[in-house]
Amino acid sequence: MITGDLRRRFQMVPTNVCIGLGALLFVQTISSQQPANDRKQIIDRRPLAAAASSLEETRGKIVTYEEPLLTWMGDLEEIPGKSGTKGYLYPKESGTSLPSAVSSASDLHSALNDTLDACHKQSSGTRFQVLQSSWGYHITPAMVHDSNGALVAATSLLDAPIYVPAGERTAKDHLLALGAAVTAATGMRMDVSALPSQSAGFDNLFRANPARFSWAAEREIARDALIDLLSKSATSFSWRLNCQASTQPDARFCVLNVNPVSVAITNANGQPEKRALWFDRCADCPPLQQILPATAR
Amino acid sequence: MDGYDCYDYWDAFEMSLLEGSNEAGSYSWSLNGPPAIGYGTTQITQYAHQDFGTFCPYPTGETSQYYLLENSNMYFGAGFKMQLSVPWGWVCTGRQIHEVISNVSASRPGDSTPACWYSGSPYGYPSFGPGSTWTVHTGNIHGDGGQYDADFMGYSIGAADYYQSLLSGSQSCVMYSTTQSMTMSSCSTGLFTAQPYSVNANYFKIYATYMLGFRQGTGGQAE
Repeated sequence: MITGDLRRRFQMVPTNVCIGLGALLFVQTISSQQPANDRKQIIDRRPLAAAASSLEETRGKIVTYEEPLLTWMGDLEEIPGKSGTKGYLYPKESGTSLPSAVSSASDLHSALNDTLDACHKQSSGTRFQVLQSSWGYHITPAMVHDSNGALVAATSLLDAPIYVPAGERTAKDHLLALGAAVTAATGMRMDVSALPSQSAGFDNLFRANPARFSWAAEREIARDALIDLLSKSATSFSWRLNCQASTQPDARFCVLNVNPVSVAITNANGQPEKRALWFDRCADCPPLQQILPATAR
Repeated sequence: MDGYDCYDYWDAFEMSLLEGSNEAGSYSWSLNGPPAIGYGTTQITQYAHQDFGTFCPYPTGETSQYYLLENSNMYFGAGFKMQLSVPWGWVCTGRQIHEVISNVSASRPGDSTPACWYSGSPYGYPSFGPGSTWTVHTGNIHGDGGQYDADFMGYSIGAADYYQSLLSGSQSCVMYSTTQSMTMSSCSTGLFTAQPYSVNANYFKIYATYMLGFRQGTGGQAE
């Protein structure tokens, strides 16, 4: 019932399959215009997820991140004490760098391509691409090592077509239903973690009225369906799809982490601070200062 | 207990007391702060409060009591109800209470217990949205209305189970710690005062075979 609208609204355009020659040349051109020291270095087990967060914070635009499940031991390592009884393995640390000057939406697009390229130069691991939708930018996997170490085409769990039957649920329950539908469609468990500290945290920020509303996804790409659901929210949400590798196939799973976008601000004391954007899409919310004490402003 | 702490001098006469007049006559205050009314807190009875219709008391604190285990809605939580600290006879029934969460951390200051979250975890760093709002019930209690009213210290089942699976024996880890600032609405405007009446240190801890939520140092089982 939402298929047509979504396809018009969300036309995915791969803008940089990072191992493509043209893309590399384009990115190198941009990089050559930047002084070598005019970049922010990121070393992380998920450097592009960290880069997505950094760009969101400085630009106030949604940049999501999705990774594939890693199975090649060359990409993975143990973290002492974090394998448990399930043989968990983790991505090896790698790096990327962010261009320091990003001043417009088109610059953000270029910055993302630039960041992916820097990441790919510093690692022989997973190749990513940038997609664009009405919701924002999406870093998604393009190529990944198979269990033998060969680079093969990769997909995200959110590329799967899913079916969520129509039903009246809370926003959180719709999100959980979407996660269950991805699990059913792919055979890979996808847990959903949305403001996990508060039982009703996601519903509060979503601010559906009425709290239970009808929604469905019928043979919809999971990412399209997720955007369709989140577009009904009073708050801009971003996501990080992280996957847990393991020596035991049945212990592998992915987590869709959904959180409000955070932005970098300077607080009243002149100190840098991160601030989550709450109710930024709300048309009928009272000003926050009328419902929250001064300490929360 | 300082009576001034529970005295909203704007609400008291629905106007500023710094200068002006009311039925009691003209007045003027040359100093900042509330008027120097001399009364003992035990002298202010519920009868007087209702009769005068002027005082708008604020609590000086609250105490937590664990009373509810939440293991549904994909969430492990320890539920607490709160007893407001107000002078005998003062009634806050119907007033609104709001919390503001700050200082969110994946560890706990002064606690050598390691953090549950670590770089590489598929689950994100603990985060919180806007705080909850409660209505004060009879007896100056809030949060005593069951599953949808208690103040929960907890975490989503998937993430909590994941971190628990990495523990064994007597090991434990801190999922998060926060500072929770409690404020109460004004009697007349319904807006919340800027001054918190209680600032609480709360946290959630995972052990190999159970989980505990802590509010103001009072612990309760969440799983």
